[in-house]
Amino acid sequence: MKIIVTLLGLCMLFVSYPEVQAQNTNEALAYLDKVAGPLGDQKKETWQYLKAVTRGRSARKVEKRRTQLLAAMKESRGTVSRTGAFEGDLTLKNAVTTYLDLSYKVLKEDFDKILDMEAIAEQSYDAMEAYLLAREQAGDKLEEAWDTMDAEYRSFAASHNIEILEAEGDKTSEKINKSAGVLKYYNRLYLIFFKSYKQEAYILDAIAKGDVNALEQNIGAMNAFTQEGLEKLSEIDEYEGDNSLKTATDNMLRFYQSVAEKDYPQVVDFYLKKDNMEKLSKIMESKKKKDITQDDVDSYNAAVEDYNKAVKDVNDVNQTLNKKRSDKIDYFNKSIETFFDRHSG
Amino acid sequence: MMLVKTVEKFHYSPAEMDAEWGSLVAKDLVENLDPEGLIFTREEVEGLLQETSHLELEIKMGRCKFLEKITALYEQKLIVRDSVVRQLLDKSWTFPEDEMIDFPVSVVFFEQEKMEENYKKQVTFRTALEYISRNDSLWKEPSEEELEQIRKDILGKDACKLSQQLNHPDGIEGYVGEKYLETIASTFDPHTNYFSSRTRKRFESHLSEEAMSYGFRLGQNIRGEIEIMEITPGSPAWNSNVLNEGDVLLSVEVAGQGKKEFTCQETSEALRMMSESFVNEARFTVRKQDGSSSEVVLHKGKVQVDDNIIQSFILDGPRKIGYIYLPSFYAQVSDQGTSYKGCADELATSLIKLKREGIEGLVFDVRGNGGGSMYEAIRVAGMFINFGAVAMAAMRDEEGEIMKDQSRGMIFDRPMVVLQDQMSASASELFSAAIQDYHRGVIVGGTSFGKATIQQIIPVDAYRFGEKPAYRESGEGFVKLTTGKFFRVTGDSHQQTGVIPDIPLPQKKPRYDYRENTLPNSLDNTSLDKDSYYRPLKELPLMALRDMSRERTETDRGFIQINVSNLSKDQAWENPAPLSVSKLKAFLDEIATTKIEQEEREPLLGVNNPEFLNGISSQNPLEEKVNQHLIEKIEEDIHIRESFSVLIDLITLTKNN
Repeated sequence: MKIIVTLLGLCMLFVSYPEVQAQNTNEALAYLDKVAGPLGDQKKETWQYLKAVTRGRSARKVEKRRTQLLAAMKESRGTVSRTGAFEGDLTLKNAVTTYLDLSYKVLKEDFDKILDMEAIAEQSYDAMEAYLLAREQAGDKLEEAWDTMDAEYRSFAASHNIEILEAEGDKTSEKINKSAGVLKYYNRLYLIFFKSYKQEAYILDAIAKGDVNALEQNIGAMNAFTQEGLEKLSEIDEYEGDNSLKTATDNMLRFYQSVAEKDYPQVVDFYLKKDNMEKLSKIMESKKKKDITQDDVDSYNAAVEDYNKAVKDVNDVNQTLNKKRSDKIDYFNKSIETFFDRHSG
Repeated sequence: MMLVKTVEKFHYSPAEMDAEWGSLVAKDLVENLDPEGLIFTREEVEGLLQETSHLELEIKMGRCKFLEKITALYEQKLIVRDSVVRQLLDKSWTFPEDEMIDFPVSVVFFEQEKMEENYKKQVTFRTALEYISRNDSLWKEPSEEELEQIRKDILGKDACKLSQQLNHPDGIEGYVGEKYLETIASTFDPHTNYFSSRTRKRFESHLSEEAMSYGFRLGQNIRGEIEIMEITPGSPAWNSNVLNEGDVLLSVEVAGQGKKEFTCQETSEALRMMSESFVNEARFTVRKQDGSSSEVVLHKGKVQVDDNIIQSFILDGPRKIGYIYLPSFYAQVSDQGTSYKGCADELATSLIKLKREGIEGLVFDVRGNGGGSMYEAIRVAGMFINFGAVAMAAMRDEEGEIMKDQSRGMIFDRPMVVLQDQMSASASELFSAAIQDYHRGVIVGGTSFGKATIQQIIPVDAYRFGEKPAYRESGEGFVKLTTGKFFRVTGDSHQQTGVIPDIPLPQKKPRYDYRENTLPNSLDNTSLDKDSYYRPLKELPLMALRDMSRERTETDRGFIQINVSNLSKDQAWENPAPLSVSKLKAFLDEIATTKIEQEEREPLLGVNNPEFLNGISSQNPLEEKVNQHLIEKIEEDIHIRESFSVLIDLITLTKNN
């Protein structure tokens, strides 16, 4: 699952380029082919990489494919940069080079070179969030570069009487397009899940540290995320008639919602009861024996009993939750696997 | 000289030590040695100041010519004054019935011929004042004998003070030398101070263990007065809601033992009396930092009872509102004997409990909260803000740093009001500013103090080291140094300007306008050019709230009375005061604002202890009394009442949108 995350926002990389058919052969067409052709040369490596990712291959294999794709991209970029201008006009070439440049950097995750990482870091709650935000913004930039390139391509074709036929494309392009679509859908859902998943980690951390301040704050945040997540989820359709992933995500969110509303507040209760008991202890200790009334003793005993019960309750809660959480995550992972098996090419 | 080297090296923005600075040091030293203009004549002062050209060079080179000169003159004049005072003990004098005395705000020195007359006027005035305060409840005209008795008392006290000076344990040289260092330190900014380690040790050994059980730690300030240095959270002093750090003890009264002043030789007697093990209750008179005086009765208690550190109450009215008063942003302490959590953790627990009781809003009171730990203030702000920058700080020669709320989420996300006043300073202002900039809550009350600087205590010879050394014992003394500034998330600063309330309420005017921008040499207001990436909430309907509040305060008896008395105070402070007893009494009666008339006003608020405190407060009958007293005070407090109303308006307006 970790590896799939790395492709968030990068779906632009995998859009394949439409074939061109011309009415007449001429210099313009040759130039067009020279400058935009290399984009198609990466197809094989692109597919190999996508396949490795979506078929759940080992991390090492995925990394190998990524390196190969990067090398192919580098070569393409080299080819294009060696092309000259067409009748003194470098606009198309520059647009293609920019796009190839950017997509290389994005796949390499050289974010520093294309984004203001400090700004992103400051706007994000933690490193993970910063990373996700960086990927999203990188994807946006990539899309922009693609649009520019696309516009230049079409304008060049139009001004030189070249007709672009959105042909079917070969099998590899088809497979790429399909996988990219599945990936995009998956990413949307995964992100919704991940926010709450990560937030629970903060809650567990606060519990481990005994920090009731952090705990209460993070529970509040969790409630906000699950609410937000369920709303977003309701706006997403099923994928080609398949509701399974959506249901699985919904399942997870409801689990997080329930623990935030019922179970974790019990842990907070435990800390409050502990606090009460400790305070009463101090008072009892500070009083002279003759000043202690029956009421005092009763209050104190009640607080101790309360506390002891809370200790037991909290332990039970933690144990049950641990098992439940692990079961739910297993089920979620399985649903993802099944989904990809069913839909990717 | 070590002090200036260390200040120069580590102070946030040390002043240029030029000729102008040198003259400032000289002038300040003269005024610190003789704040009432009773020792030096005007001619002598002018003479001294004329000879201070290039005092700054002397200081930098560690020479002491000026110091020697002023010390010699000081000693000589003390002796002169001493003989004057003793002579007056046997004399009597009168002034014409309509004679007046002036109250200059800054020190005035008199010509040689006028010195004696000026002193006599002062003594006459103090005599009249003392008589009036002794007979306030049952007024009668004074007899000559009574007045003479009081006068002799006052002269005797003055003579005693003088002889203490002349027989100072460190000698006059030592005393003036220390004053010199203290003066130099404070020319850099009002919060940079010099402490001689000798002074501290000597004083602490006088303090008996028992004094701790009122819950304050005392110390001697630059004027030799007994000042409250620290108040222990949860202690009787803390729970009084009257005492603050920086208050000066004037006198203490114990039933059956009489009243002792904290002056001259009575000081040790006063300390002894209040500390006696059989004494359980004492009435203290203190002078607040703004010049006004307050009285409070304290019962000795075990300092460690911390069930009431964070005073929280439920205000019942049209809606259920929580009220929390935080007297200081105290940090966690684990010392020999005492240990308690920092205020943020304590507050978190209280707030969660209040939340569970279903409060719809919160009034957070930081009036009189002079500050404390910046770190705690950030954590407290973080409980009301989701996540992100809370403030920024810049140390000398360093780029600004963003200080963030570490936990995502909030403990309390409902409408809130922060109540502040002129004595809300430093960490309190950091907190208010954050709430205001995020549009998280409405700031109500007075403009805050205006301190946005950070101080650290380092040994005076710290300049020897590359970096600021950690705290350690130093035979040479310490300097509390301003080493940084903090800023709002917007990059602006509240230094000197204070945090301006969204809804200002009439405030009682103090005798001395004690705030950052009236203190000499205070650092100026600068901004930090750095993006904090903070994301504010939606704007609050401040204009509507202001209008609704104004409608109430313009017709409220309590607020009207404040405005009226402020006006007459204005006139009073400008005028000189009469010397004759009867005229002075009339004068004071006119400007007195004691308790605001209650006159069958029904409290708009029911004030209750939150349920979670039931069972705990009733443990100790004494605490029950304190608790009742606190509840009454809240019920009568018109500023709290107005905050409550503003919050109700805010809740209603927010719900309607």
